[in-house]
Amino acid sequence: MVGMLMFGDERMGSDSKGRHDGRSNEKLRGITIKAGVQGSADGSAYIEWGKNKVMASAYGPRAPMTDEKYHDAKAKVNCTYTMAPFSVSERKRARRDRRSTEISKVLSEALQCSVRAERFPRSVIDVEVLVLDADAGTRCACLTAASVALADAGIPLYGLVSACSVGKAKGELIVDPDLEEDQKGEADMPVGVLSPSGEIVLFQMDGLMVKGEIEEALKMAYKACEEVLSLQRDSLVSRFGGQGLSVRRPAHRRYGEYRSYRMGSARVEPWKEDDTPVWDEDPEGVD
Amino acid sequence: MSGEDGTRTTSGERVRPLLVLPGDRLPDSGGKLPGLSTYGDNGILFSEVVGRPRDLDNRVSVLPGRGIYSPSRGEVVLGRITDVGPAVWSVHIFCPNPATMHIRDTPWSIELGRACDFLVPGDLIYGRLISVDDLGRGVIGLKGRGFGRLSGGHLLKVDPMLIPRLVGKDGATISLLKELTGLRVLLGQNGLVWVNGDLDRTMDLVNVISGIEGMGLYDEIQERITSLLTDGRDADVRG
Repeated sequence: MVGMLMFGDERMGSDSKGRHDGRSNEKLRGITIKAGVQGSADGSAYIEWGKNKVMASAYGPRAPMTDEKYHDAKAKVNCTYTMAPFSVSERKRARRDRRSTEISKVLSEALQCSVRAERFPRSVIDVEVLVLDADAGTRCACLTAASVALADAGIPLYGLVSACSVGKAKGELIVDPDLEEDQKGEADMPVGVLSPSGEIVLFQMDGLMVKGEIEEALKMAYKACEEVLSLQRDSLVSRFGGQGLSVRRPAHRRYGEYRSYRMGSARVEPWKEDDTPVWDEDPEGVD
Repeated sequence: MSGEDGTRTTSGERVRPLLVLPGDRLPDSGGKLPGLSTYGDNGILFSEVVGRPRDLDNRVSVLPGRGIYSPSRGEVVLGRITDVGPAVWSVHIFCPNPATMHIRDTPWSIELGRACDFLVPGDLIYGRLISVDDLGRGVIGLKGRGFGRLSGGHLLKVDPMLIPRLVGKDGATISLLKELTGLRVLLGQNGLVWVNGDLDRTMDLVNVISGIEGMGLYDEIQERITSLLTDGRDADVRG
């Protein structure tokens, strides 16, 4: 109820600067990741990202069903995103909807980029993510937890996928917007990054930003993803090695150092200064 | 464990071992060949699983902490018959694609169409993979000492990557387990353990294996087994 009262006070619309929860613009919410929490799955992870609570489980690889699509030369990653009926303030009907289908698709494609799928031809890897409590940024939390679950299952990976969203509220770019900032803000841009190559495996945007803002938001997202990656690594180290293990720092390529983006299977060269901007002018005046 | 695993130095002092995660650049891998559970990019080797790096014969590998069974020729597996035809059985060996076994690869003289007289769905077999195709579909043979159909006993499913640790160096760990429990134990490299013998001892073994599964990659297994199986009733177990 406290949250509802805060939601109703229209702070986002006020002229006061700063975020309503006191975070700086680059600061993430509190994140806790635990790997290997579910005995029945081949690999699992639980993440608490602010008020988000997500359980991810990985199964497989397994032989495809008779009516199921598969690749002849590599494994296919099937990710299923589900929100529990009690995960939102108004009870949600327990059925597949357009949003769940869309998020399942983008998560599957992001995880497919990270899995060494050619090691398991003609097979299927299942990843189930269940949102127990939602407070904006669930797809980033799901992608982060799903990647840890895949690593926990021992499935060969090119690297871990860490994700974070960057939003725009009150004209400023903010990392990891929560529900209030997401609903009252002007834009939201979830980004998933594959380490160590720094390739982008998830990139979506809801709302409007100018080209320079997108560049700046990507830099902020890369920096935030490095923090998330560090937490993912800690969870796997405590799962596999107990305490007192030395961990090498990842050879994580920073923003600006990567050679090209890879979104899905297509490879896109990075933007140049003379490229056509996304918006020629500030989108405030655009209908 | 010896110093090569990075857990102890020659003086017995505990040191911090190295654990690599997916995407980690493997240490001292310059100019070396990629081994198991690694991949190379522009001459640099990376790990693809969580595990311990191992440098052997100019080839860098990673020993995974947990993993998926990927069949290879020559491996010894436990499997369950799922289907039977005139000359071929389908065998589930707990990997993505099922294996098969032909009547000519058994030690018995079987006429065509009489395969169901020897093995039926549900039977447990212990055999060797005599070939594996590009899609990972294996062919099992039962010819060889100790191979054949298993009857009775209990079947445990463990992580396939735990099997080498259960075997130990030159079979030391499995010998210790057999000695302390007095059970007949068969290990399949596909992550199955078949146990036959006294039920109480079997439950002891299940507890030990469960305990080992929760241990870290660098913990010392043989000490743990001895302490678990001899704790408080040493004379009983050994007697």
